[in-house]
Amino acid sequence: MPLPMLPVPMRIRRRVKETADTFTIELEPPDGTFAFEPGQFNMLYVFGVGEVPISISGDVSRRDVLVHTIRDVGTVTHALGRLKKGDWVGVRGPYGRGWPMKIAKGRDVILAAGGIGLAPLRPAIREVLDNRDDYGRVVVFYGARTPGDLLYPKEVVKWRARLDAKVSVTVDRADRTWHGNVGVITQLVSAARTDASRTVAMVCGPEIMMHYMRIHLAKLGIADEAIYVSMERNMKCAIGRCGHCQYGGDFICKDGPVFTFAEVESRFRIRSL
Amino acid sequence: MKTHSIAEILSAHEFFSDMKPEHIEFISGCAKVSHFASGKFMILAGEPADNFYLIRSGHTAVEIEIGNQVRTIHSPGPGEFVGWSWILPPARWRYDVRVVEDVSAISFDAECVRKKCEADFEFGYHIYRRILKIVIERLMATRIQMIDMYA
Repeated sequence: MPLPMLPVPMRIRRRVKETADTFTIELEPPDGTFAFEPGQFNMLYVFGVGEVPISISGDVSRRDVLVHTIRDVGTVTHALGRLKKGDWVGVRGPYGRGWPMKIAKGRDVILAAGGIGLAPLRPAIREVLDNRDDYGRVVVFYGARTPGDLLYPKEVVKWRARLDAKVSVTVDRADRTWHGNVGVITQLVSAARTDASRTVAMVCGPEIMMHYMRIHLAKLGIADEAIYVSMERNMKCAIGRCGHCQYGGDFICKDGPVFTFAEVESRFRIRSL
Repeated sequence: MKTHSIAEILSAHEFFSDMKPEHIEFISGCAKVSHFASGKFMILAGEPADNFYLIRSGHTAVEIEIGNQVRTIHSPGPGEFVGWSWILPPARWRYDVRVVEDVSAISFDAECVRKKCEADFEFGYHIYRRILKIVIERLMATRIQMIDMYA
């Protein structure tokens, strides 16, 4: 059994600039395979700099490549952003409880992402769209600040072209070159048209966005037990030992990062937690 | 293909739900079907706000000019109302509304609706209460938009 704190070196196969502050790296697993579940994360280690938790944003069926989309917000992510094709990254993982893919089977599914939140949700969206017959009505909502902040725009266009899923994209502000929706993501929710009693909602984005999404999903009649959110805290060990990511009685790294809203409702948006 | 009267179209809309049939007939008398081609302006800032619209199909962009730039701040589509400046004086539009995708809409004569609201306070109360609900929803959405939620 591999040592849980020992990173496995992986070479960067490809690097893609997504937006002004966000990039994607594709890593080569040393033995050619890496299995994970949608919503799980890895600890990425830049040698000599430090380690950060980053969600896996690739395809579960593509085990030969490990994909991470990263926003440059701190020392380690900045260092990750300076790495090039052929450079090495240390990888520990996958960790955590991911999206409820088994529970969602046979039910209507709402997948809602805000900003960088599309990265952790992308594996779930791909899983649902690739196995479309396994699910009821499928609705994808994606919101970002501006058109230039949208992740994976070519892929999102392909999703929108599908006739078997409703995919809506909105931005907070835009100029005339943008022909899509302008407005907050919550305004899209009323058009979901799912059967609330058999809907599973997966929501990923900043807590404030998930907070408002939950309010609007509740208006549709979707229970807190069927609304799943991905929480983010300062994870260090990623195996529930160090306590850095303690969130009330849970460790985000081990018990999450995905929780039902019912599980976290009493702790949600409490600044000190 | 069966065509629906304006009263039937309005009755099916959430805004008019639970409204008395005579009130729906009343406001239908102020309404007509309008079409706007892509690229045209339904509303121009500064002009008298003498109509407002319920979009049936197509998309629009509520625009504001900032310096040399035009910024879209909202994009009303099917089922949404466009235009509130008619409600209170000076009843002049504050924003431009450009047609992004050909629009079919129910166009309401604002003066006609205002007069009916003043002539029948019960009717006016129901209209203004429903408008207030939409304005509150827009205010909430604008507040969320302002906080830069995805930062």
